[in-house]
Amino acid sequence: MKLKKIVAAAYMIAGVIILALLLLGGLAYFKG
Amino acid sequence: MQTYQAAIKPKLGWVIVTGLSLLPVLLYLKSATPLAEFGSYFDFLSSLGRMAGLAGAILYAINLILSTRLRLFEDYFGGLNRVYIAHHIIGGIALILLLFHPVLFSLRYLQGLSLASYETAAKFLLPRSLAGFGLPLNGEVRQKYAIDAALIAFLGMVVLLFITFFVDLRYQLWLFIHKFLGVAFGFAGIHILLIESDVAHNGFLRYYLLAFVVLGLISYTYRTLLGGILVRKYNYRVDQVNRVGNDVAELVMRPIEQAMPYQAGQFIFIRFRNDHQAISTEAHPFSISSTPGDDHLRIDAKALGDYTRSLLTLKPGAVAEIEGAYGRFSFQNYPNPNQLWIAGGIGITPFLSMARALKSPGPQVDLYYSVKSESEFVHQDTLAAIVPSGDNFRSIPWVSEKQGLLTAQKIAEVSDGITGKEVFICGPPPMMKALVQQFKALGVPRRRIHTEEFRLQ
Repeated sequence: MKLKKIVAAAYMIAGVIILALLLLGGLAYFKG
Repeated sequence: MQTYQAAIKPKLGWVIVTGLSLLPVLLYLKSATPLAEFGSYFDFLSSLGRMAGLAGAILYAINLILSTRLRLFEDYFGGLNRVYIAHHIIGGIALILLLFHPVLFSLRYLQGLSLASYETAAKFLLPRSLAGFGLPLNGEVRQKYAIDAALIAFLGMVVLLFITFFVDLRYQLWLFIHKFLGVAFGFAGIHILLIESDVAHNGFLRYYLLAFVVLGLISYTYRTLLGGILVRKYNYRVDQVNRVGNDVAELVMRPIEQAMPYQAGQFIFIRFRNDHQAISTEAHPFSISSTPGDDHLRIDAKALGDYTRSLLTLKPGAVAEIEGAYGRFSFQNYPNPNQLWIAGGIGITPFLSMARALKSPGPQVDLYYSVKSESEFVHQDTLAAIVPSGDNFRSIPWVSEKQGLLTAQKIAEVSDGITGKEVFICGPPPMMKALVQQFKALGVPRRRIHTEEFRLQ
């Protein structure tokens, strides 16, 4: 149960970072 | 005279796994030509990302190796159920490390709030063939393949392990999906083989990683791709199907060719081949309730789900394909002269096998057989007849409706103390968890407490 919570937290942190990078990167790309 | 097997070293497996996964990280840090650089923000995150990748890849490979169910691993973890618990934990750790392997690499490109650096960081996470972006990784076709293979492995792993950890599926569907993790590992192997990095230029690290890739893929082939051919199975024919008590099916089987060797208390995976029977052909684990030397192999299954209910409808003549035997839950592995065996409900099955294997002189055993109501008792007559001398074996029935829940304190009172005794528990998970905690609170070391979990998922 503890492992499941740690894995869920890792998914959330990595997911937020990846999404943020893709969004900001996409923004930078389209702004030229 | 009772005989015992070689001692089990249940912690050694963890020591080996930790050593094997940390060795490349230590070599990376201590290499003669320094590989790890921490001076700048870019180098710091690059080094962290590589270390996460190194340890994560080794742990991923180890998990495939553990899934082969080789008996060797049972001694180093304390039984196949413990190997699967290790497999679950190692899978979680590998996932976390491999999740952050590309994330750290990507984050290293960020410089302040510069939008251009966000673009560089984002493009690192995209397939090379689509992005058409020449990163400082030579920009060659080989590198594009290496990165794209890593992205496929990453996406596969992320999706498949999300399902593994968080989606509640029917076991067989869950297992089918879980098996594709080997394919994702294959792509990770292509990444390791092709990638140009400072790790790739260190001979030992490169071959160490590639050796684990090969071992992981061999394990995957042996267990998952060609398991039907390569994994040893024993064929048995069902002679009798007996209804024991209200809802327990006792299957009595005899070998068609060679009999499977086993130890009292072990379990098997059983799959029925006969198409004319109204039973699915999936493999399920069951404890053996007969004992080595018996003419027949017996299992007792309580009708708790669709599959176990259908066992009651099985007809004599059905052919069973049996894989095993597995497990280290046996008094024969622990030469302690004083033992407490505690069964909850259908958790009596491994103890039936063990009690039948008891010899005199042998260990002094108190078997507590706990059920909710008296109607749930099975094989009481068998237990009474098992040890004719009876001087080293006591069977103590316990009805929780009348006597209250069975606790370690009550056991200590009835059995005249618990100090120095070996404790074996098999029953519903909440019961096992509660009793383990109670025994530990009363001073019994964890290494003397042995549990047998029903579920392997």
